[in-house]
Order: sequence, then C-alpha cells, then structure tokens
Amino acid sequence: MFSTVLVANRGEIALRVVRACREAGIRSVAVYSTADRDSAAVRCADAAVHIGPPPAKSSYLSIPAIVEAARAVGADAIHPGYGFLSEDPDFAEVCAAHGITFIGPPPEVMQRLGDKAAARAAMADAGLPVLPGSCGALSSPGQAAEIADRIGFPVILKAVAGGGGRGMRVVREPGALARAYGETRAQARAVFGDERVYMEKFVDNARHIEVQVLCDMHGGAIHLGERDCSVQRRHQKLIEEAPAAGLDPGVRDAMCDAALQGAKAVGYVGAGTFEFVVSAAQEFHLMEVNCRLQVEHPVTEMVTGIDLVHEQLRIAAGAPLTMRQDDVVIRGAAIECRVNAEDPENDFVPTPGTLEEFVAPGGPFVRVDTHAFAGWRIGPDYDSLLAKVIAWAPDREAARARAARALDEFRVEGGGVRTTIPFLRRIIDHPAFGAATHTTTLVDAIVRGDEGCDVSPDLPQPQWLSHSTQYAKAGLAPWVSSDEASPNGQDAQPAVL
Amino acid sequence: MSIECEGGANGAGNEVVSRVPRRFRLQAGDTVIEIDWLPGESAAPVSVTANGTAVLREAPAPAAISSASPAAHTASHAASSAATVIASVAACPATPAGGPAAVPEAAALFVRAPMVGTFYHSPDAGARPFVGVGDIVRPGQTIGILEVMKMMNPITAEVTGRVVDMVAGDAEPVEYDQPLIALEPVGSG
Repeated sequence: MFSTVLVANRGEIALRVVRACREAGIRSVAVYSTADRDSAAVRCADAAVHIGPPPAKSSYLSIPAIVEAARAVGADAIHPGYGFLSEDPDFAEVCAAHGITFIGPPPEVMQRLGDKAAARAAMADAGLPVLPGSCGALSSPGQAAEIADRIGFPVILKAVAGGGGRGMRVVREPGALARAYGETRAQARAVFGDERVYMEKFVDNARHIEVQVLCDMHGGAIHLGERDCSVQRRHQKLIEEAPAAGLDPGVRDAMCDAALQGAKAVGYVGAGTFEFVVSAAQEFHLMEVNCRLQVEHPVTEMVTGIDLVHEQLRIAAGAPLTMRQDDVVIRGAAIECRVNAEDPENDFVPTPGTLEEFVAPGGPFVRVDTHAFAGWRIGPDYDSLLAKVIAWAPDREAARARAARALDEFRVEGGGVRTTIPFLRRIIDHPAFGAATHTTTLVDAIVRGDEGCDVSPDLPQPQWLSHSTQYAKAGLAPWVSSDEASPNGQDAQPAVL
Repeated sequence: MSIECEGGANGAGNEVVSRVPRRFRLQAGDTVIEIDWLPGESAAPVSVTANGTAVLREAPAPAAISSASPAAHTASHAASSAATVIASVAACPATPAGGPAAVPEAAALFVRAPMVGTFYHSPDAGARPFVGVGDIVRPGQTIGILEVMKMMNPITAEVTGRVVDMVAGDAEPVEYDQPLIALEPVGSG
C-alpha cells in the first residue's frame, strides 16, 4: 500500500479521500489555493501544501504545482478526485514520469475514452450498443445534414473533447442544423480548445442510468450495480439514486454485463462509470465512459457497503480485487441530494457568502459529505456544491421519506447565501419522482411550470406527467411511453459529472 | 530536432514570447512538441505567468531529450544540454497598472515564491550564491532560482532593499507565496 497520498483536489471530495487514507493508515497531504487556506481538507489531512492563487488554472489545474508539491512531501501516489485534472492523460503521464502513481486508469486508456468520438468507436467495436450517429468527428455541415437525414431527427451535437455537461446541443429539425453545428463548434473551441463535434441520435423521454465498475491490474473486473441520475438541470445532476427504480432486471443485467465487457475491452483499471441513455421502451445505449470517481459514488457505497475510494487506493497499489461478482449484493435503496449554494428562485445563480449557520442533518442512515462549516466563506472561485445528503433505507419509499426528513433538518444561513434545498425537497415530493416515472426532463418541467412560461397555473400538469403518473398508478409502464412527445424543446441529454 | 527555451538571452533570431507556458510536452519519437499557454493575461494576484519572459529558440542539435539531474540546475548547464527546457520567470507581484509600485511596509518586504518548487541560492551546486545577507538588491536582480518540474525559473527582486535573511534554505522545497528572502528598505541609490 502507499505510504503518502497527495490529494489533488478541494472541497468535499478532497475531504472524502483524506478520510479514506486515514482509515487505511496512509498519510494524506492536501493541496490548497489561497482561497482554500482554511478548508476542512487542509485541517484534516496530515500535511498541506499551498500550491497557488485562487484561479484553478494556477492551482488545482496546474500540473507543475501539483507534481512539485507531491515531490516535496514525498508522496508515492496522487488521488485526483473528480473534475480538475482527474481525466487529464497528460497529468497521469507526468505523474508516471516522476515515479508517482496516478490513482486512475492508465493514461492511454484515459486518452482513448476521453475523446468521446474515439470512445464511441472503441465501445462499438467491443460490442456495446451505441446510438446511431457519426463515425468520429463531423467534417462539414453538409456531412452533418447527411447523417442527420439518415438517422432521423432529433439529433444531438456534442463536443469530442466535451465533459461536465457542456458543449452539446439538441437539434430537432433540419432547418436548425447548420446554425447549431456552427454554434456547437464555436462553443467547443472556446470551452475545450477543440472544435471537433460529433453527432448522435437524441433520445427523448430518456433516463440516465450508469454502471459502476471496478477493475484491478490483473484482469479482475466487477460491477457494483447501477445508479439513476435522471434528475438533472441543464445536464447537471441534482439527485441520484441506487438502484434504478423500475428498471427491468433483464435490462439491468444486460447493462452491467455490457459495462464489464467494455471495461475489459479497453484494459480499464480502477473505478469507472459507464453512462447509458435508456429509452422509455428500456432500450439502452452507451453515452460515454468516465475515467474517475463520480460525485454520486456514495449511493453505490451505501447499497453495496463497498468503500470505492478505498478500493481505488488498493487497486492503484497493485492489489487484486478481494471480492467476486457474487459478493456484491445490492441492499436497500439510497438517494443522494446535491445541495448547492445557488438560488433556485433566481435561475440557480451561485450565491457566494459567509455561512453564519451550518447544521447538517444526521440521524439514522443519513450520510452527509461536505466540506462546509459555520464561519466558512463560500467563494466565487469554484463550483457551488455545498453538501451531498445521502439517505439509505431498506426500500425506495423509505429512502425518499428519509431524504425529505434530512433536507428539512438541514440549516444553512448566511448573508446572501441561498441553497437548492427547497428545490430538492420539491423534487423528492414530486409524484413523478415518487413513482419513479420521471425522465431527464423532470426538472425543466418543474422550473417551467413555476415560471408559468407556457403552462398556465390553472391548467393541469403537463400532459406527459399526468400520463406517466397514471401509468404508474396502473402499474403499467415503468416510465413514460415512447410515443409521447417531449414536453418542451429543451435538450435533456444527461450530464457527465 | 530539439527546442531550447532560455531565459534572459536576447540573441538575434530568437522569438521572444512574453508569457510563460502553462505546459510543455516534448517527445523524441515522431517529434511532438506541445506548448500550452494560458488564454489571456492571468488575473492572479502574484502573476508569474503574466510577467515572465521566455525565449524560445530552435537548436540544430539532434533529438535527445535529457532530463536534467537535480544538481545540474544552472542555465549554463542547460544551454549545453540540447533538449533541456528552461524558462525564465520574472517574479513580479502585481502592481497597480500605470501607477508607481506601491512601497511595501517594512514587515512585508519579502521576495515570495511564485510557484511550488525547489529554491536554489546559487546558479550551480557549489557556485557562489546570487545574494547573501547584507547585499543590496535592485528591482530585476536575480536572487535565486526556483526549479519547477525541471524548468529553472530565475527569481528576481521587485524592489530595492538590503537582504536581512535568507528565509528559505538552499535546495529547499517551497510552497506558493512562501517568503524566500527578507529585505529591509534602503534609500534609493
């Protein structure tokens, strides 16, 4: 096992990794920018290194700063967390060149799967179902039109180098394609420095379901079941759960097998996630592979009892998996609510400020992963994730009640600070979520209904919602039927993080 | 081919790049050279990247990517080693644009580390230190070298002052913003 692990991240995930190291008897070293001088991870780690000023590009995204910090403290491994450098093959390569173990897949695997078009091709070769679309990047608007014509509208354009739910656009009619193509390329160039885009068939009324895998260096590979991450706003996940309620057991098994098949085909090592889009008819297609720990990993931990970060450490140290597939038993249901410092009443704009009161919920079977505390200042430099509230119960209904109870207990106060707690609470209470008939359009529908843009408050729920609720009551389709139109023109492709 | 990136020199034909690259990647087989600059001027309060100077020069030497040994950290050594990359970084804290440099309070007169790295007092192992206690340094004068991933970054003073303490030891790892040497103000001249 490692003697010292440097945690190349911040926030709740840095604390999560520090805790796993402590439990494993490994010395942990946090890194911090000037803005995170007083962070929880810095206080809890065995040592900490000041790596740069607040802008991430000069601190958490600076490979020289992080590698020098690792060398200075004699770290033999680096855990990248999620985001920042976690999926940067160059970083993994530099670590290797300095004799430091990067806790993640080999650089060449990250390279291949990080190029979304190449990953699509690799996974199709491995026999996984991928959505109809372009082979590799599109070369011209003409080619885009040709392929869209062949596969049929709606289609989605995505940045080859994309991630984090950015750089994608849904196109519903031929007339809008050329312009969307130009816009997506421009956005991809601006955000990712790579203007290449590819095209896929877009699935309306879909659910986002992903499979967690663990692979060791010796050919051992298991899956830890699935997570449903369909509750999303603008491709950003708000609530995740495990297992996916209403998913046909046969489909579930096929998805988990497909994920393992894909992982083995590319020589995957470590913890990884295979993201699928699942249609109303429960047909599944692979969207992408994430070469890192996911934000929502705790729901899998809660239903399997397996500490994913601990497994990452063991695998990176060269240890074989100690469990077989049969040892992985899904028990009960877990729901995670992401509490962000954002104002749901004001288009979810981030609300920086100092926390005057911060009392996280507790009680039976409630886990809160957070780096926040009373007196801590939410700065403008990083993302707005404040806490993850995870509730476990023997069944989904009880987990939902427990999540609601936990959210109600949560007290967050501070000048100017707003949180998404009230909004999360409404989703938990929503009939479609309660019946697990929701799709990735649920949040948009709730927001839209509130704003009353195209739905008068006097009118009943949008048609698809009432339909799906009826289906649920009648015990029919697990979620909305495939012939129903999308309730809005918004793209609802699932998110990445 | 190899590429050499040398600080301070202003030889004819050199392309002067006004910002230090964020990332270098060199590969001998199939000759890959990737240089990544930060987009735009950095808004960092202590902005090495915005003020550093790197001089890129293509050298006619055959492809040979050598890794500099820890001891060989001088610019002169690097210049003789064909594919070593050296970038010069002027450590300049942000001063209000247009205005005169704010006169720091005596207690705050430190030259600080612009990045995480290893601080060296002298240009080469065994060589004379750039500065010592009692010396007077002037703006732009090199007071040490910060090695960051085998890139040698000269650290310069930004104000005039007398060295009162070599706060960071020679060949010592330093963190971002850590005081390297302490100065006391002296009258100009």
